[in-house]
Formats: sequence, structure tokens, C-alpha cells
Amino acid sequence: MSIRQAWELDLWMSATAVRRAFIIAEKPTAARRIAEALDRRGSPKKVKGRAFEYYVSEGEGEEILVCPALGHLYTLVDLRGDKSLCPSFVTKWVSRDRAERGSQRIRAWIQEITQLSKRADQFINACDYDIEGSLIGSTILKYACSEKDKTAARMRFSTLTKADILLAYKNMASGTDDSLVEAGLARHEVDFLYGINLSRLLTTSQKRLSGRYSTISAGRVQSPTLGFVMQRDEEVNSFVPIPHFEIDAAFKVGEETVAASYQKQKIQKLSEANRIVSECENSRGIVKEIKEGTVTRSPPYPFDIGSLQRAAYTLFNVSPTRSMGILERLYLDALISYPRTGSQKLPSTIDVESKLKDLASIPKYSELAKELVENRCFRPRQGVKEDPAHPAVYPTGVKPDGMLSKEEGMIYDLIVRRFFATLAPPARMKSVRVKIGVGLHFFTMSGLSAMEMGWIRFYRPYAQITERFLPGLKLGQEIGLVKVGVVTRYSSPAPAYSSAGLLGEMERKEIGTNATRTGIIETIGRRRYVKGDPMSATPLGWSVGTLLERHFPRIMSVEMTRDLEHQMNGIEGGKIWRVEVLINSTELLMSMLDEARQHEAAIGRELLETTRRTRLEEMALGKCPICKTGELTVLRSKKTKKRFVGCSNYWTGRCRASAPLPQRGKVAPVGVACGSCGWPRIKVLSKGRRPWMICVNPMCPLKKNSKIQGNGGVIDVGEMQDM
Amino acid sequence: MEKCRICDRAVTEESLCRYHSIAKRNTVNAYRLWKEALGISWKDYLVSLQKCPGCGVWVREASNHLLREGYRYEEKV
Repeated sequence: MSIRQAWELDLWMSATAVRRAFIIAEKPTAARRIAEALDRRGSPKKVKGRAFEYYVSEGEGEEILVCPALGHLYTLVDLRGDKSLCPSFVTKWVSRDRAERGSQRIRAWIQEITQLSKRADQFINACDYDIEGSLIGSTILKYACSEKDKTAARMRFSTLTKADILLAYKNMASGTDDSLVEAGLARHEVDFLYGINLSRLLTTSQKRLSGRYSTISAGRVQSPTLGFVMQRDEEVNSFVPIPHFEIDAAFKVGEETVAASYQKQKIQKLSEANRIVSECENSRGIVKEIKEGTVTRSPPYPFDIGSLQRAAYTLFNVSPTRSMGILERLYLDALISYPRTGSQKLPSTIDVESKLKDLASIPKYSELAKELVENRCFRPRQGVKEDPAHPAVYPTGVKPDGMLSKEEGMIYDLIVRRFFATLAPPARMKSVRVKIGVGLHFFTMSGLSAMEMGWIRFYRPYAQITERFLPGLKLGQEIGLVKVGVVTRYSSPAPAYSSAGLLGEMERKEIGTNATRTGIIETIGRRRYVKGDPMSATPLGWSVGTLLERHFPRIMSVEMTRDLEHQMNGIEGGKIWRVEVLINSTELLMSMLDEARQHEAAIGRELLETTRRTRLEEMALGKCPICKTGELTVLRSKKTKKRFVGCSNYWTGRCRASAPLPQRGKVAPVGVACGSCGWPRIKVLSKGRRPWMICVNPMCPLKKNSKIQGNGGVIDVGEMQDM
Repeated sequence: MEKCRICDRAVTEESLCRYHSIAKRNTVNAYRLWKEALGISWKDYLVSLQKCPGCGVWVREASNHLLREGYRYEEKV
């Protein structure tokens, strides 16, 4: 804040004899929306401060200063500062600039908040109403605003619309939400203690042996999550498909050929399947039975965060991390309600009729919204899951300003149509099953046609009925069997986890929270423990996970993590004290560390082997096309320090294959051999340039004009030295 | 440290690492079902696994290892 701005603010504050309220919001956009809603004219004064822009709103007989935060401004650190100290249980909350590199702007941000809060009469926490939001607001009020956390009021809202903000301001509770803050503090403290102590033990045990420092991380939620991926990988990799047989048949009815399934869907023996086929061949079928029925499909539940992220992944291939970012933006634009909710219920306090009327002003939804209003469909189908803080995700009715990106538009559309679908009547379909006898065998034809599309019409294109129409048939009618044969099928393993599937598994096993699960999945990817989507554990992930299973079985156990989660949820519900949870979890951690310390040397050795193997695997480019047994690896010349490709069999004197490499950028194997010469292809990644794919063979017929010709690609193998 | 005959990991049983041991066990156990279904020989079974869709990577490696080693199913039953 400049001197002039400070003077202006001071002048404003002293000149006005009215009540001065100070609101802290979680993000700059949220601060703007809150200020606009609370200002009498809807246009608050925007002040450009030294670190951020804040707003001064004019309320009824009061001035309201709305300040943004930037997510968490405070974080935990080890009080003793020594990063190799293990165990360490003394923590302290400090501003993020003191704990993280590259967070210098946080200091100026906090100083400005402190300055602005000095003359306020009332303090209000208006961060998101959940554990993280409450903690963000509380730590700022405590550390930056001279311990105003205990006297501050709390605004609770689920959307950033003007009506909801005004209502939250009018009904704000005095006193912050202590139980949420306590739960947040406990969660951060427990996770911090587990994270630093386990990671330090792993890192130092390796460093003691090798003298090299490389971070190996483990965590309370992170490790069991890695365990899920490993377990599924194990199932997939050790899966033996079992063959079974199906009878593929088709009948001719009039001009139409209709497929039919055999009475027994899976036949275990090929001989039996062949016998059935031979007994049916050259026979005719007789219609033995026609059964008609009605199938009712209820509307879907409203979206909670997990089901919404899974739907976004399935329908649009948007990862949970990306969808969370998009949902956050839609919420800040006041287009949808708070997304980090575990609820599948829309309470009666939500004015569904007005939301529908607002949505009817958007041409795309006009017809469907009007139809629901006309039919007075205002009672949504309620789901099972509940969240005391927020309802399920729903559209606020605010019209998008047309600036939505493609993905934002898709996810907004999904939320609106899902909201419509939950209000619409069930879908009803007519089913027909026709049993056809062929000698002693039976086949079934089945048809399905829509009677009432119900909610499916409102949820298109995200739901549809695949109708199958059967031609008219009569009992006793004779029809020709035009095709009958055996099809061999194999059982298949459970699919590898997609990021959305892993999110669902974490939810089912009750580890992590709605706010943290996506971040945990991102973390295990960033640590290079898992790769791809669908995910598989990397060699490093396997090694670290196996080591943790052996030496820290409890950290990999879902039960322990879930038990701690329940205890932390207990703090939120006022059933248990934070200190009690901290003592319990610290005792558990200490016993784990004590056990592991007895095997510290073994852990160090295993980790050393792991990192060495991982480094080698990362450098391995593929099979050597010359000797066919060795592995081509990235090596570095002892003399020139230049990198090149050499065969692993060089050291045994069996192969002298080598090739030069580009000297700049990161080299990564593509995993596919060149179609022309059989040498591995690599990807060269340079900053600011598009990834570049080449075959490592300089003599490859496909790249006669390549710049990498050198001396024919042959490097003096005498210079070879392992990197 | 004794290394797995198939990969670089430490041996846990019968010269194989934990994962290849599991894969080998699954391979041997599933043969009875394959034999019932298709009536094929042990050797043909191991060869079929190499091309079978959905067959796990460790199972392919283990069955290849069993083929190379000349492992005989009947003797183990």
C-alpha cells in the first residue's frame, strides 16, 4: 500500500463514524462478488493496494472492507528447523513465505491485510464454508489481524449469488466455527507430522549409505492411495484369463435377421459348445413364449463432487484435477453452488422454481426449464449421501457471460442437465422377451422400446435408451435359424484405475476428504510413483510401496488411515478433542518409527537399490537391435562428457552398438521401436519447444537428411562410462 | 541378494520374486480350467498365454520362463 493510499484509507476510516466491518474472503474473485453483493449500489470502491486489490462496500450504516486471501497464507513448519531431524513433533504455523520457496508475495499480502484490519470494528470470516476455508480465514484472523479469530463472525453460503451472500451476511453466526477450525488444524498437523517424519526417515536412511540426497516421500493418505494402484496393478499383471464359450445365433423373421442369445450365456467346455451347435444346425426355431413387461428407470441423484468428477472424466475425459479447477471457476463466477460437497441432496430451502425460471432465460435450456415449471416439477430426487455444510451441486440460474471455455461450457451443461433430470419424472420402457426353441435348446431374443422418456430427455446427450425393436412374432410361429456358431471369450481383469476410478476408490474406502483427494492423486503422479491414466505404478512407485509394506505396514493400511479420518471427523462433530487425536496419532507414528529404526540400514540399502534401478530404467531406451539381448542405455563419455546411446552388453564385450544423441533437452524413451530399422525411438523435450521424436540410429533409412550424422554415429566405445 | 530369474527383484520363493511367484502360481493353477475348456496340453497352454488378450504381463513372463525351463505340469500335481 502506498503512503497516499494508506492516508486515504485512514482518512476514510476516521471521517466515517459508522461501524467498520472487515471481511476476509478466500480468493480475489470471491472478494469482488461479496463486495458487490454487500454494496448498496452494487458497485463497491475498488482500491489497488500494494499486494492486491480490495473493496470498500457501503452497507446500511456501515462500511465494509472486503479483503481477499490467496488460499492458505499460513502453513506448518518444523519448529526446530533441522530438516534431517527425525522424529520431530514440534510444529508451528508461519506465513507461507517463510516455509516455501517462491512465495515472497505472501509477505506483502499479509502485511497489507494487517494494515487494513487495524481500524475495523468487526471481523468476518467469509471463506468457503468447509474445513479448509474455515482454517484459511481463522489463521489469517489469528496471525495477521491480532488474534481476532475468536471474536470474528462467520458467513455461511453455498453460492456466490447476491441473494445468498446477503442472506449469509444477515444471518451470520457470531464466533467462528471452532469445530471446523479444530478439525482443520488436526488434519494439517497430523498429515504434516506423518509426512515429514516418514519422508525424513526414508531419505536419511538412504543418504547415510550413499551420501546422496534424494527425496523419497510417504504420507498418511498418499501411501494407501499408492497401495490401491499397486494392488490393482498386481491383479492385472498376474491375471490369467480363463476361456469360456458363447453361442452366437441369429434367426430370420420375415426380411429381418435378429440376433439371439443361448439359454446358458457362458459354456465352460468347447466340446459342449460344439455339441450344442451341431445339434442346432440345420434346424428351425419355434416361438415358445412371448413375455412383455415394463421397466422403470428412476432419475439420477443430484451431483456430489465425486460423482460429478467421475461423470466429467467418463463423458469428456477431463481428469479430476482439471475438473476441480473448472468447478472452482464456475463457483467463483456464481454459476454453480459450492462444488466440494459430499451431499447428494437438494434441500427444500433451495428455491427450485426461481432457478428454473432463471435458467429458462438461457435459450439452450429455455424449453426444458419451462416444461419443468409448467408441470410444477420442483421436487428433486434425493440421493443417499449427506453433507451438513453444503447441498449437492446445482446451477444458481445466473446466466453465463459467454466467456466460458469449451471445457467449462461442457461441465456447466452437464450440471444444468443433471439438475433438470433430478426434477423430471422416471423413464418407462417396454421390454419384450421371446423364447425360441430349437430342438432341446432355447434361445432368447430381447427388445426394448421407450414408452415415456422421462428424465432421459432432460439429461440428453448424457443418457440415452438404446432401443431394440423386435419384429412381430406369434406363439408357435416357425422361424429359420440362419446362423449358429461358437465364440471364444476370455475373462478379463478389473481395469487399471483411471484417475476418476481412483478417486472413487478413495471415497469408498473413506480416506482423504472431498477437498484433498484430487491433490493426493496429483501428488503421487508428481512424485513419479504412478504414471498414465489409466494409472499404473512406476518402478519407483513399486519399490517405495513394497518397502513401505514391509517396514511400515500400518502406513499402507487403509484401516489405520480410515480410523484417523474418523477421529478427525469426530472433532468436526464435537465428539473428540483435537489434542486427543494428536496424541493418538503421534503415539502411533512413534511406534511405527521405532519399528522402522531397527531396520534403518536395510531400508537404506533397499532404497539405494531402488533409486539406482529406477535411474537405470529411466535411462534404458529399448532392446539393442544388434545383439538382440542387451539394452540400449543413455551413457556419458568420460572424455567429452557428451551423452550417447550404448548397449549394456558392451561391458561383457558382446556388443559394440552405439549412437550419438542430441546434447540439449531431456531424452525420454517412446517405448516403440523404429518401423524402419528397429532401433528405439526417443522423445527429446526442450523448454519452449515442441517435443521432438527421433530414431536413435543415425544410419536409419528414414532420416538420410537428418542433421545428426556425425561420424556415422559411431563413438569410440573406449570412452564409455556409466552415467 | 539373490535376484529373480525373470527380473531384477529380490527372490522370495523358488528363484522368483514375489510378483513372478504369484504369476507362476496363477499360471499353474489356471491350467486345469484351460484343459477342461479346450483340452490342450501344458505346452500349448503356455504358448497360448503369450498371445491371449488380457493376460497379465507377469503371467506372460512367468509362462515364458516356464516354457524355457521346460517345467512339467504333471510332475507337480
